Amino acid sequence: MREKNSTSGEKRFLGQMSDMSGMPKDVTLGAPILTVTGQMELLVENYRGILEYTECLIRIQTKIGQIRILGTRLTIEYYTSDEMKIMGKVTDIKYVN
Amino acid sequence: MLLFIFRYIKGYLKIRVMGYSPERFLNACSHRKIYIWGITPVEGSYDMYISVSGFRKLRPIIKKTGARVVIRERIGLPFYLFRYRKRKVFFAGAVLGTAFVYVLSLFVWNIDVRGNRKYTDEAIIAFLEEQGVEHGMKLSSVDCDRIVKDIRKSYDEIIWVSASIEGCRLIVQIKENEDSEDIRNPGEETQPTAGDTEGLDSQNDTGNEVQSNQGTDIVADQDGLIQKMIVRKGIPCVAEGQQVKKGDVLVSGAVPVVDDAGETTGYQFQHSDADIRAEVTVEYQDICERSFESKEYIHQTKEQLYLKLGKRIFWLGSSGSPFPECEELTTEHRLRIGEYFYLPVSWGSRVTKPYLSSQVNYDEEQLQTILSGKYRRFADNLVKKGVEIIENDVKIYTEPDQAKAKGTLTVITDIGTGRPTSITEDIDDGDD
Repeated sequence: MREKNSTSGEKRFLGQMSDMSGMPKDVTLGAPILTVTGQMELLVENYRGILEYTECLIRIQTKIGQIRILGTRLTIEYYTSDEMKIMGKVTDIKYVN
Repeated sequence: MLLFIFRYIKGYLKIRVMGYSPERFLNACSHRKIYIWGITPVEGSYDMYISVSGFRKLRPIIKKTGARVVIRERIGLPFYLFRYRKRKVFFAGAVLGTAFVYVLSLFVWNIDVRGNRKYTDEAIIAFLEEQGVEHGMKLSSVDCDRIVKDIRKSYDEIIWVSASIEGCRLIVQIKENEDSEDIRNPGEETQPTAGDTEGLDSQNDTGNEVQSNQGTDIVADQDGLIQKMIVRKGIPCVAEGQQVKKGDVLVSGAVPVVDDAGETTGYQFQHSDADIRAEVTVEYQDICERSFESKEYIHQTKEQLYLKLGKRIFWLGSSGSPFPECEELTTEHRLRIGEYFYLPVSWGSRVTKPYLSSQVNYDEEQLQTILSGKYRRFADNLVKKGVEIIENDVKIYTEPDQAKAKGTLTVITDIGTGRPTSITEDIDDGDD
C-alpha cells in the first residue's frame, strides 16, 4: 500500500515537472494518444501491445493502464510498434486503471 | 494508391494466424518491426496481410508464440509472373511494348507555339519546317538554340523566343512586340483587287518607313491639285491650290538654318510628317463579256469514297466519271496526331454533279446591272478608305460582244509618300 502511494506521488511529481517544463505528456509520462475521427476511425499511439482483439472489443495495454475500445465490425487497418489504426463503428472508449 | 501499387509490385501474402493467443503473435510482429495490415478476426483466429520479406522473418515468432500460420492467398506481381511463366508470347509482348514506347518517346510528337497573337501557329510551324524542324523528327537532333536564333533573325516583330523540350513536345514560346502598329506575316502580301487605285491609300506618315539620320521628304506619288495641307514636321514646298506632278517634293525634311545675313548655313534634318489632301483623277475601266456559259444541273449526283496513302489513291469502286461535263466537290480529311502533326494518310469523298452547258447572252439590262454593281462596290471601297468622290463621269458603252464601263473619277485623297531627302549636309548653299 505504501509502495502504491509512492508511485502515485512519483507520477504527480513527474506531471508537475512536465507542466512546468512545457514538455508534452506523451513524452514524459508515456501517455497514449488517441485520435478519433467521427465514430469510424481511431488512431492509437504510445501503447505497449494488444491484449485482446475481437470484432466488438479491442483491449490495448498502455503505460497508464488498459484501454477498452467497444464497437462493431472493428478491424485493425495496420499495426506497427509506433501506432495502430482501428476502423469500424466505435461506441465506447474506456480507461481501466 | 501509391502504397497499393508499391505493395503489388513487391508482392504480399494473406495469412491466417491460429493458436492459443494470436494477440501475442501481433505484439511480437510489431516488436520486431514486421509491418502487418488489414487485420480481421475470424473465428478465434486472425486474417492479415504481410509482405514477403516480413513473412520470411516469422519463423522465430511462430516458434516462440506457438501460433500456427497458414498462407491463404498470394497477391502481387512476382506471384502473377510466376504463375504465367510458361507464356512466352506474353513476356515477349511486354518487352516489345516497353521497347515500342521507348522508341516512340525519341521523337517530337507535338510542336506547341505559345504567346503568339499576330502570327498564326501555322505560320510559325511552316517556318520551322523550312528550317528542318518538324513533327516526327528525332528529339536528339532538335537544336533549341538554333530555333531561337532562326526565329529572331527572320521575324523582326518577335522580341523574345524560347524553345524547350518537354517530354515529346517541342514548346516554342514567343513574345511579340505589341507596340508596333502594322505587322504582316513574311510572304503574306496584300492582294491587289480589280480596279484598285494605285497609291490612294498611301501613308503620309513616313516616320516608320525610312530610318536614317538624313531626314525624309514627302513627295507626290501622283499628279493632283493640292486641296489641304497640315504640316506637322518639315518645310512645306507647295501651297494649297497648287498643281503638283508625281515626284514633286511636297514637304522637305531639310530645315535650313539661316544666319543673320539671311544666308543658309546648314540644315537640320528631320522626318517630315504631314496630312496632304489633293484632287486627283482616277481612271476606271471594267469589261463584261456579253456571252457566258450557263449550266443546267441534272438532278443526279454520284459520290465516290477514297483512301489516300502518300500519293497513291485507292478508290472504293470506279474512279472514272461517267459524265462528260460535271462539277466535282471533294471533301478530304487528313489523319493527324495532336493539333498539327499530319500523317500522309487521308480519306474523303468526291461528289460529282453533272450539268449541261450552253452559251447564253446577257441582255442590255443585265449588263447594266452587273457593271453598275461592280462600280458601286469600287466606289464604296474608296469611301471606306477615306477618299471623297467629287466628280464621276463613268459611262457604260455596249458593243456587240461586250459591255464596258469606262471613265474618270475626280476624287480628293491623301497623297504623298516618304523618300530620303535629296539635300545633303555636304552641299554648300552659301552662294545661293
